[in-house]
Amino acid sequence: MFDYTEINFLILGAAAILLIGFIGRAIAKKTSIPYIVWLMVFGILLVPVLSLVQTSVLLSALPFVSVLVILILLFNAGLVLNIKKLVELVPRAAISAFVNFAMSAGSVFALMYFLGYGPLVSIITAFAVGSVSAEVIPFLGKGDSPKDKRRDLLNLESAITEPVCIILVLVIIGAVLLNNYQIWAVVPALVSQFSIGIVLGAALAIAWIPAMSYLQRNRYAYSYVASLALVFVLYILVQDVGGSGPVSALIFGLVIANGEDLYKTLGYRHSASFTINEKSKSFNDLITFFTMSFFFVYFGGLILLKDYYGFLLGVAIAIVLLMARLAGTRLALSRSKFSKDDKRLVSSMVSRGTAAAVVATLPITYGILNTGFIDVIFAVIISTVMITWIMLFMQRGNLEAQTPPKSVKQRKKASNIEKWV
Amino acid sequence: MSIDPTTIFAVAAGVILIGFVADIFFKRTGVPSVLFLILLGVAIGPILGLISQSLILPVLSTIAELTLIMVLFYGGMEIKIKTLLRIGNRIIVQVIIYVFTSAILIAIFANYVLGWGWIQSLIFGAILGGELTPPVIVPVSRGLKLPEQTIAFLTLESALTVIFTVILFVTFIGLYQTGTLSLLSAASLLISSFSIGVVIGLVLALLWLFTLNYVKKYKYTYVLTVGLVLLTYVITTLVGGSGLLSVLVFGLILGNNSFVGELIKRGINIGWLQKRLADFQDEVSFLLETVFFVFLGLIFSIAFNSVVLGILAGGIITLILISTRALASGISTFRSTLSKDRKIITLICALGVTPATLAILSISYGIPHASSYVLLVTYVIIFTNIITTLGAYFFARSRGTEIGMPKPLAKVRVSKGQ
Repeated sequence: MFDYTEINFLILGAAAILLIGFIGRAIAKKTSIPYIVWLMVFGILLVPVLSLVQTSVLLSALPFVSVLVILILLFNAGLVLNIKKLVELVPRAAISAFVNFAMSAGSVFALMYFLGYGPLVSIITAFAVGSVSAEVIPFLGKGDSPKDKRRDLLNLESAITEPVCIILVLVIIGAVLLNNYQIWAVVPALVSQFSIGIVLGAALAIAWIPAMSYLQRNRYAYSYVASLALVFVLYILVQDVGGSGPVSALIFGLVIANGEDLYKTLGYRHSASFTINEKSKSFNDLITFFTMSFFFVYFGGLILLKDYYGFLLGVAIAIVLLMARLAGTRLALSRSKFSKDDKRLVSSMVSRGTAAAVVATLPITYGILNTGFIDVIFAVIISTVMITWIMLFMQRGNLEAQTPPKSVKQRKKASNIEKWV
Repeated sequence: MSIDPTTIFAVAAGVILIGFVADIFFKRTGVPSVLFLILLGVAIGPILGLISQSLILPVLSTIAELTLIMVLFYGGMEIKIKTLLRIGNRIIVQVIIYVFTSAILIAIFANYVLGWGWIQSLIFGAILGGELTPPVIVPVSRGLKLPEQTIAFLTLESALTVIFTVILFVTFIGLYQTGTLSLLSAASLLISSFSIGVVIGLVLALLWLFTLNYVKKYKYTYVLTVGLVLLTYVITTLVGGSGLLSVLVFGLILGNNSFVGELIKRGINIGWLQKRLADFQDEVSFLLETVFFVFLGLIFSIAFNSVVLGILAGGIITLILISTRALASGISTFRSTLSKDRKIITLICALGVTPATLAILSISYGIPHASSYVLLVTYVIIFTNIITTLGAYFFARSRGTEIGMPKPLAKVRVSKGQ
């Protein structure tokens, strides 16, 4: 049972998270440094510096927190992807995402292995930092100029690679938990987990879409919470029958976000809209705001601030990521219509964020790596954000040179790709 | 035991000749070729003793599996994805009710009437409970010229019942060996087998579709396709999924290549390949199905005691299956356009290779009464095949249309009034 002190502490904690989340974003707007950095700094202040909460308390909650954050993150990742447009119009973004991810992960793996780390640590680190973060992209400007397709390209790249990073690390952890590194033992087990996740996630979503549409149509109060609630139920169900809960959450989000297109493709006649409504999306945004604010403060609280070698390693990884990015962008956009300046700007985007932080907690949750890994990933996030910030500052002329759109048609064309993600 | 090449060639020649004669016999008399082939098997095996069961049993499961693969692949090619997805939920309901209810009722019968222990009865129920054999179901439903969605319903049902039957069997064998029954493990195994079959089947099918589209100008692409079908089965089975389901999915994707091409915005057109495959498939299916039904006749037992037990117990089990199937079809087709074909869905109930294989497997597991399993399973297979063929025959006659009887795929036709 809680006593009054504990209850007060919890209420205070909730208020603090909301306030810190808000303040972090406000400072980010003023400084052009992503809010996640400020939230992590708050976390460092609260735990390692002021010792308001014990690290051991935070660690005991890690299994729950990491699962919750991954669920919400992957559900959202699915919700923002438009399959039809993705398949139809953006092979360039998909190629860019794949090439950059492969280059980044490959280079980091090579660095770690070269420094004497084992293949397991090297590969987890490589996948953890494989995805660029969308948090820094808003600072590219908010213009609707056709030239801002580079921003849309980055948004899409982030939307594709973030879930891929998380899933790949889950694959590695799955292999470790099976305690068997023989490919013939690991592959069937992982294929089974993922297949169950995909099939059950898609099946529940397909069944849920008409029900969701009915609830939205009849304006039942708070019906928008149902989709998120179902994600949690789905997670438990899928995990219980031996599937991958996170994969099912991603697929569930992906299918309900594309419900209208899906049912249309199957030739199912329906008068009502099968698209998730704005109210549900707003609720989801609110939950995401709260969860992410809490998570990054929590993540900051897990940092030890004593592991200088880990910090240096993080900086080295950030430099390798920059080099991989420069080479990867050149390769991926070699025959594209992007100008030289655009390519330079896109290749500046090395910042890591949400996916890296979330993935960093997973090996610790399962006891595969120690908490020092958090410091390394923290250093990677801070360093890459700083590198991006400096590179954007150096190219501010290029950023400011963007002219506003001349017509409504031009504006629509420019913002098209953004709608797809 | 090694068999010399001359014997193999003699058996092959015999099978081809038998199949050809069965085809002529079918056209002249209207007696379904399935019955002819099974009776011929009974004649040359148990009655005349020309071929011993010990020679047949080791190869029966391989030939049966190959037949299932080819039939499901071809069946999948003929089904429209849209139709299948529209009725998918009804198929699941049908399979769950039919398989579980019939397995439980047969187990109760075995326990109370045959006096077997509960575990042995449950294993027996799992073997016979609700299987539908694709090599009969697919050609019969096509031969009757049923609506496309009814054909899709029966084709997918037959693929799924095979998975359910095998998993129920494995679960109860586990119960026999360990003394513990894990329903959660059984559910996980079922979902895992189904999910892997669908996902791997889909991924490989898309991959093969692009491959075939790329090499379509080359000679013998249809042979390559058959190779890919077998590869899909092998890969899916190796990673623990249902190879049969993945083959069905491959057939579906290949058969709906234009629709899939539109969906992923890629110009894919391998329609010509479908025609070549249909011809090729026709010949292969003719051969495999002939072998399969003759072999079924070969494992039949004609000893007096066996005949009495087989007819009585086998008859009651067949009645249980038909009643349960009527119940399941009634519920699953309720308030749908499928309901007008409810009777024929009920009557198309032929069991086939899976129960036969599982019954033989029970002997190797050392299950008490396993030899009786084989005997009763053979009788039930024959009874249900007779019901299916006669049911289809009279159903077609009642419609006054030209009919086709269970016969090798795609060439099913009998003149009016036969």
